Amino acid sequence: MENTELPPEEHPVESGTCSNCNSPISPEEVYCSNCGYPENGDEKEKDKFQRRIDAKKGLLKEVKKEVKKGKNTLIVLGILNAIAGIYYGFVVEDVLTGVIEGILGIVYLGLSIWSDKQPFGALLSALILYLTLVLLLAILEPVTIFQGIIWKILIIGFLVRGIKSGHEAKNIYKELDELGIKY
Amino acid sequence: MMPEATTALAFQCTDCDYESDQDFKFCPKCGAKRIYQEHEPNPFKSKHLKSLLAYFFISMLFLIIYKVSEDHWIGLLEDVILVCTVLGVIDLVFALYNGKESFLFGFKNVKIKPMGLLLLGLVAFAFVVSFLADFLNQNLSDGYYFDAFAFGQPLWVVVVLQCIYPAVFEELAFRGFLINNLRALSNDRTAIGVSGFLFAIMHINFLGLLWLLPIGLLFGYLRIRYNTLWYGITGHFVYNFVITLIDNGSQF
Repeated sequence: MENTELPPEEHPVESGTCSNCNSPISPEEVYCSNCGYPENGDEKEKDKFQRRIDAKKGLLKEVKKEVKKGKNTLIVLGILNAIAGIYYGFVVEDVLTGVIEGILGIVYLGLSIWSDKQPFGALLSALILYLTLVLLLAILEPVTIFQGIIWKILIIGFLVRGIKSGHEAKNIYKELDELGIKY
Repeated sequence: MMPEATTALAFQCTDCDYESDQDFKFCPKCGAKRIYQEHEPNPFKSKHLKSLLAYFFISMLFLIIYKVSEDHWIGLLEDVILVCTVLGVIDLVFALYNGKESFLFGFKNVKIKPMGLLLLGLVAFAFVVSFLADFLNQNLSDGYYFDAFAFGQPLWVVVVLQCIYPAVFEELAFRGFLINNLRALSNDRTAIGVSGFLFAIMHINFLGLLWLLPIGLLFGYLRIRYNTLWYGITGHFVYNFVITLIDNGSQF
């Protein structure tokens, strides 16, 4: 590839580029048609654009905190199941229960790792697994549904909020991407 | 409805009177975003997630009640036929509710080479799983995994209930409408991951997670890549058929 093209900053003025996203913009256009940046607008408009981005970034931070709580819930569930697996397997010597608890522990920890990449999918999977287990135990022994009910509500609450936030985070990333902000 | 003006250019701003013959994402005159993709902020209010959760927990509740019943409802074989019928009807109702995109029965992307590789791989995998399941059963408990219903039944009954039924209906659900729902909510990776995971836990066999999850992920990936259900259906049939032959082959 020969270097015959001019770098963006040396483009003639009549076909300038947007300083936010580098796409071409003509002087009569106030806003960039690609990212909405007021390239040829006044300071007030530029300030407004910046505040829009700051608001989205602030929201993203809040949402990420909720995702983190969901992830931590999965880590706690994973560790508790793993401990239960070791207890049943080696102390009580009920190997089947031990192996099942151990597998559940690994699944929760695996989902917690996946939640870094796809928080919505990982936390949704975990919530459905958790509810399935609660349902299974409740049908086997109805009284179990009330055991540790506060913990159950807390776990479900953290997971639901994490799912909502994971979904929201993706929308915010998309909107920031449209505004020409790269992450 | 937009009135058709003969002088109007192809792309108009939704907020001001700006129009252009070139597409734009943001209006160059007022800065408003042109393409409004309303994001539903709460996924639990979207019909895709509601439909997914409703399908999963209705089927799951029914399956759990069946699995934990100590006595037969009618008889061993009759119960299996009843369960398959009820679950099949639930699958069909949700598939129809989710529209014709659930029924991806096109043959266009069915190619001999990937299909052959898939089937060879699944036959080998079936032998490994069968060996592993036997090992786990012998070492962990009696009859935890063993499915007794096939014993003493004619081959065609077992093939219909254990091979054809799951191949068609489970694929229609997990690789049909569930994966579509998940795609509408999120991206392809999430759709493959979650549908494979739900497929694995729907079998209510905790040890089985070890081999059901990879199979679910593989079928989901093939469904997304080739946009047809046939890899899943054929693969699922062949895999279940080989497992059936290994477990019960001597009786036929």
